[in-house]
Amino acid sequence: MTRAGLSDLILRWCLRLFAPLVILAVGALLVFLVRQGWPSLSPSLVFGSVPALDALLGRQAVWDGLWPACAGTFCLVALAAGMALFPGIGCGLYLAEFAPPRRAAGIRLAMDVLAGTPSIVMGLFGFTLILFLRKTLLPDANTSLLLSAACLALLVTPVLAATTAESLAAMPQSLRATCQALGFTKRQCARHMLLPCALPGIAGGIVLAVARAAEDTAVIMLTGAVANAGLPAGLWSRFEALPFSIYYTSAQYQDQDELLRGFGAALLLLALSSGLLLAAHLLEKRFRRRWQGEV
Amino acid sequence: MNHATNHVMNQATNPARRQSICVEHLEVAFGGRRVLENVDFDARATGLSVIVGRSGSGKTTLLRALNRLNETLPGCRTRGRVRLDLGRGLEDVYPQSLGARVRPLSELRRLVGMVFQTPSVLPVSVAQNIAVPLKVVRGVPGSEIGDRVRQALEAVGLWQETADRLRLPAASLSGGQQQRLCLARALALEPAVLLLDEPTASLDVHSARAIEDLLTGLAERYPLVVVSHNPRQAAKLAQSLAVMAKGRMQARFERDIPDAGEIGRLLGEA
Repeated sequence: MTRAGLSDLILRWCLRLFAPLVILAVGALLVFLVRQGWPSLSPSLVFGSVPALDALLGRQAVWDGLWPACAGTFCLVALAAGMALFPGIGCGLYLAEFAPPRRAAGIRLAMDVLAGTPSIVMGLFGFTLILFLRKTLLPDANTSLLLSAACLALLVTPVLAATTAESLAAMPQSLRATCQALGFTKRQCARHMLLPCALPGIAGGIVLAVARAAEDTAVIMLTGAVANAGLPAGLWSRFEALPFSIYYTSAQYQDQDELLRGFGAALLLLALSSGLLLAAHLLEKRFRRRWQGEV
Repeated sequence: MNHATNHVMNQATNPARRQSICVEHLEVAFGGRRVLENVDFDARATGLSVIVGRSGSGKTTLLRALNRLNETLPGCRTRGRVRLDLGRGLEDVYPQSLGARVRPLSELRRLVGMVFQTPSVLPVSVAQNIAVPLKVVRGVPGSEIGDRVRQALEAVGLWQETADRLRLPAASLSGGQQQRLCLARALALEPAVLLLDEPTASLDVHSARAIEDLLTGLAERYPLVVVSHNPRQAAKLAQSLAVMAKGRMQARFERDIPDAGEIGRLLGEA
């Protein structure tokens, strides 16, 4: 066998091995989580001793279940996504379609720095910001849901901007030429043709950003998450969140039962993230069918 | 009434004689490389003008100079004068002096419809291909869109073939149908001039014939400028013919259009 043939054979076998390796890793993680968390999965894990309907309607507070953490995570993710979506996608759109090359390079550098910022540093930034505000403009300011969401939004904005810019850059040049020949202005072309066509890629970025916001612990533990706060009372109040509950349980558990409840919480977080992923996928599919026509 | 006045009145009242496109001393260069040199060209208010030439002769650049689409390419520099009749008599397309006002690019391109060599359908459904430009560029209200889509598809003989496929992706149509859809989309925007860049080059014989028949019909209502490298097609369609070579206008025929063999010979010489 020649040298080129041998290296070709090795490469082919490496590729055959690597693809199942990813599936194996994900499978092992899932099996481990399900085995550990499944026994503790029950309505009482979520709602404690409170009837589910009373907890869902907010008639009774849940102090021994994960419902407040689920609600806190949901509020946090929704708020962070709401804050990051417009600036993130807008920044990506500006970078790909409107920014002069030198300005685009500057913005990309700033985005790379922001994307590379460890989340604990972002948490520290939020914490220091509150200290600064307390000393200057807002003496009553405190760590809260709003601060956590703002820091998370800052953390995920570069992901959104980068995926939006990449998705738009991948659009064929002929599409732009066709729009220009039809009399679309650059803004109309971007708004009515490029953005909808690039939506599958942008939706991928949104899913990544939402997943990152849902799982991040370092930011929220310094900016507003606590172990026992009940349901989020408002933007300025502290809150519970699933990743923080998992972290707190794994660090402070007293017995095996409590540890198993931690695994149950991890399984819940996974289900919540998967649910969001599925919802994003369905929305994207529905939009694509409506926009591009039914296949 | 002297002869000159007579000529002007004749031009003003008879659309077949009125000029709709007038190009003088046009020069186009990309990054220092001159593609068009001192080109003169004109076309009447109705009728089909064909520009023929070999690859690289500058015919597409001339076509794209009419709706200023060359400017979307990097390093484009245009000199000379291009005037089009877009409903208010001949008007300059490029500013002739510093600060001179011309129509905004988007309006110009909407009024100068263009069909490309390969069908350039938008990646949306058949109906949306016409509806989106109508809504965005012309601002047609939603209640009128359905009728306008139907009228445009009927104008190119595509309604019967696509009436039950309006919600399907436009890319699922055949090549010939896609090209007719592009033509319908251009017509829906109510252009004053239609430009077609080798519209049958990527089609089979039957589809090409359907497009040619369509163009012959449309030439009675619009000034059409068609770029072609096919002598047979040029001889069949042309009511006036321009032959280009190496970025220059080689020959013009306003009447007595040569046959396919003669055009082929001209192209060979060019």
